[in-house]
Amino acid sequence: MKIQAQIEFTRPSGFSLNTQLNIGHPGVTAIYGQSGAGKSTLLRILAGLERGNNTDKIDITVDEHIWQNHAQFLLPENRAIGVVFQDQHLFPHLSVRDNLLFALKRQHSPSSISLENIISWFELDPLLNQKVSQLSGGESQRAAIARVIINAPKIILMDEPLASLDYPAKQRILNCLKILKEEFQIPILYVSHQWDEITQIADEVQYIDAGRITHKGDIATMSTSFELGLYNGDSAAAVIYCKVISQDSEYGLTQLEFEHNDLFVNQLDQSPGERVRLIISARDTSLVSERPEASSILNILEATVDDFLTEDRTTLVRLHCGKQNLLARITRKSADAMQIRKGQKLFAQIKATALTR
Amino acid sequence: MRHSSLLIVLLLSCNPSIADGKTRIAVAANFKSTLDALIRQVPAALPEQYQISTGSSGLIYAQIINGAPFDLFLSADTERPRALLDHNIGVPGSYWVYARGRLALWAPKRTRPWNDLFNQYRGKLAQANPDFAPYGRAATQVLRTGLFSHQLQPVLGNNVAQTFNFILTGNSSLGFVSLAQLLDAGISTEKYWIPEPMLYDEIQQSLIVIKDTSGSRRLIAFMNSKAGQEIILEHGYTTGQLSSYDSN
Amino acid sequence: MTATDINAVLVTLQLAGATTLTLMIIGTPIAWWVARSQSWLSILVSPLISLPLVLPPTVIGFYLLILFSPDQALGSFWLQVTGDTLAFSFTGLLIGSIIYSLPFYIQPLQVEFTNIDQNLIEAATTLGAGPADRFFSLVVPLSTRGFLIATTLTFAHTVGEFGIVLMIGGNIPGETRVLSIALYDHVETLQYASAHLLAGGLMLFSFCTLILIHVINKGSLTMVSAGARNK
Repeated sequence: MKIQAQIEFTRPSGFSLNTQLNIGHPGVTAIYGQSGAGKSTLLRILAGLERGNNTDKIDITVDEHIWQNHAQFLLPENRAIGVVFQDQHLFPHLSVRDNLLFALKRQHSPSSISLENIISWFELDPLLNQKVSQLSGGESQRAAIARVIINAPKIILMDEPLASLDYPAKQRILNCLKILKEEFQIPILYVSHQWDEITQIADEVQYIDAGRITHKGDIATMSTSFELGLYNGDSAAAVIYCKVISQDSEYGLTQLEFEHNDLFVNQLDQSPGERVRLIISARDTSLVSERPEASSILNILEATVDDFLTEDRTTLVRLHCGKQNLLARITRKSADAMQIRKGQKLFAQIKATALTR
Repeated sequence: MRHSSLLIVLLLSCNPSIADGKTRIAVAANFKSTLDALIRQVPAALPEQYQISTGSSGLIYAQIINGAPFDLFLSADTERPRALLDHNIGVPGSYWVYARGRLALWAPKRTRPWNDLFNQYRGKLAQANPDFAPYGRAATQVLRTGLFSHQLQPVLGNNVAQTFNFILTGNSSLGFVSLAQLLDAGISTEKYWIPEPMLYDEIQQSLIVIKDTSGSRRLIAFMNSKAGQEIILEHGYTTGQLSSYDSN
Repeated sequence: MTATDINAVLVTLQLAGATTLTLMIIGTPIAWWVARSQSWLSILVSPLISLPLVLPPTVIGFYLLILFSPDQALGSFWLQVTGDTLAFSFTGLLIGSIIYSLPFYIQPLQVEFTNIDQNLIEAATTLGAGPADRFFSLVVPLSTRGFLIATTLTFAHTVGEFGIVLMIGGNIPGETRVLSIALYDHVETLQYASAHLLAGGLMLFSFCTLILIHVINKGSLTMVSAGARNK
């Protein structure tokens, strides 16, 4: 699935979107940026909900089909695009089941996805007969996502889908989305300004600022990049990929292999041989010059300093570990004491309990 | 009967204002233009002294019965003024048949001779409602004499004025109206046919004085005079006996 | 009640029913267009639709009388096709009633349509629903209340029609002699007892209609008003 879009779009209010979008692979592509940067408008234009006027220039091609240019416009109902909105927009006059059936009846293309599977993946069984107004925020968003999937679109656009949810509901849905990624193989364009959501789910990140996409790259590289201000505060985190080696039921830990190092994390469901994504917060990573003899910290990794950024009270350090990167946030005092410099060989320490998927 | 007609007051739009020195006249629609001509010529009186409301006799009657402040009522029939007197409304000695109406059959787009029309015509025929309009009743009486060979579908106007309008706007091609209307409109004589007066009950148009005013007296006196009678005749009515109303 | 009065009731019901049905077919798309259109044309059309609210029915009737005349285009066309005049016919009354009751159908519906959340329509669009599909599967169920009010008002309003029928009806029993005309005739012929009967009946009917509309507005008869949100 390839999407190529070229958009020049302006409004009298001064808002403008002037950008190119290229997506060439399945998986989740995140569009990340601050509020007002143009993320939602971009989605709406792709979906065909915003047509633009005579002064705008919009060209969209999907898999060699022209969806829009100066002469043509494919109506939104004919674009095989599914949209998950922040406010769900479930139909209030229909029950949850009927909402799903509405989507099933209008499938964009024949699909092998069965309604029963979707209902069980998203745990909607107890909710099927309920009226939309009776659902909680998390329940209705699960129903909305299920509705989109059963509609069998070629791409799914998600516009800040978790913004109005509390933490437990968010996590539950993120877990659903991870399953979605693996099971259904539908490319997802995920718009958000919450970095902690993106690190869990995105494969590629495109950064949008004032109506322009200025940076893009895979999640691992982007997460450890210094360029984007992503390193602000607690959200600085490195995304890494590991392989499951074995489970230790007695201690409740799973052993992973990361760039020829051993990593121990809280027990995961995955089986040996499976690939796992981990998110390591910079805050939870500390540095030591020599391998400690006996430490309560299980995970001690050899790494080389790639670059570092000095701030007021802290220093953020990017480390190479094999082919992947890590981030560590230490006090400026410690950075000076350790004489942090490029190329320096160090050890990174990460507590097992701190690692998240 | 008074109390029962509040709803009629809602239907009606006539609302004569209370004005001093004026004579308020209610006149049946068909006589209105004749009345206008008479008023213009009443000696020693100004046209502004007369305030004229026009409508169908039945509605005017209903208004007067419920207290509408008319001073003089010129009806298209004899029943309404008599009915008012029965209800102790109006001055008894003032009852007078002031004109006799003449019925006419109008066919503005006629191309055939009248006899062919009577024998062949099968369409709709406009007339005033025979239940309550005197010209309508007369028309029905004429029809009953077998004037037309075929049964015709009646289109009923509320009064002869509306009937005239139906034909004037072209929606009806044939109908019974009053001769007075045709003369007023200057219709050429070949477009209408006048039935023998013997074929229908005389359309006696009578008036009654409800409240004595100087204006009423002057008008009635004029209508009794030669000049007044001529005006009435000119407008297509025939006249009858003179009024015995004391015109002092 | 006499046989002719019962006849008048039937004609009235037929006229009100036919008017309501016709307006449902032609008025619904107009109401939708006026509610959702951004074009300058809809700004012009809206007051035109409201015109029968303020025009005296006799004015409408008068212009219809002229319009229907066989000397004019419409009247002569009708005469050629059917052999009959538009005036003094049920069809002529139907046309008059449609004009007369037009705002009573369109306006409540238009208000309801305006209140439909645009987001729901967009969601339906992205799920693959085209314009007709969106209208019937989403807009109509969400506008039940508006439809109920519009049809009830239109029906009741047409039952009470008088001025237009007076001008173009011709009082033909079984075809154009409606209740209000029958009432008028009874008054003209001093049959006040019959007049009371008809008038009282009409009054009761109107009262029941208003109760019905009140109940609908309160939501007792509708399924969902949750689809309404300000745009």
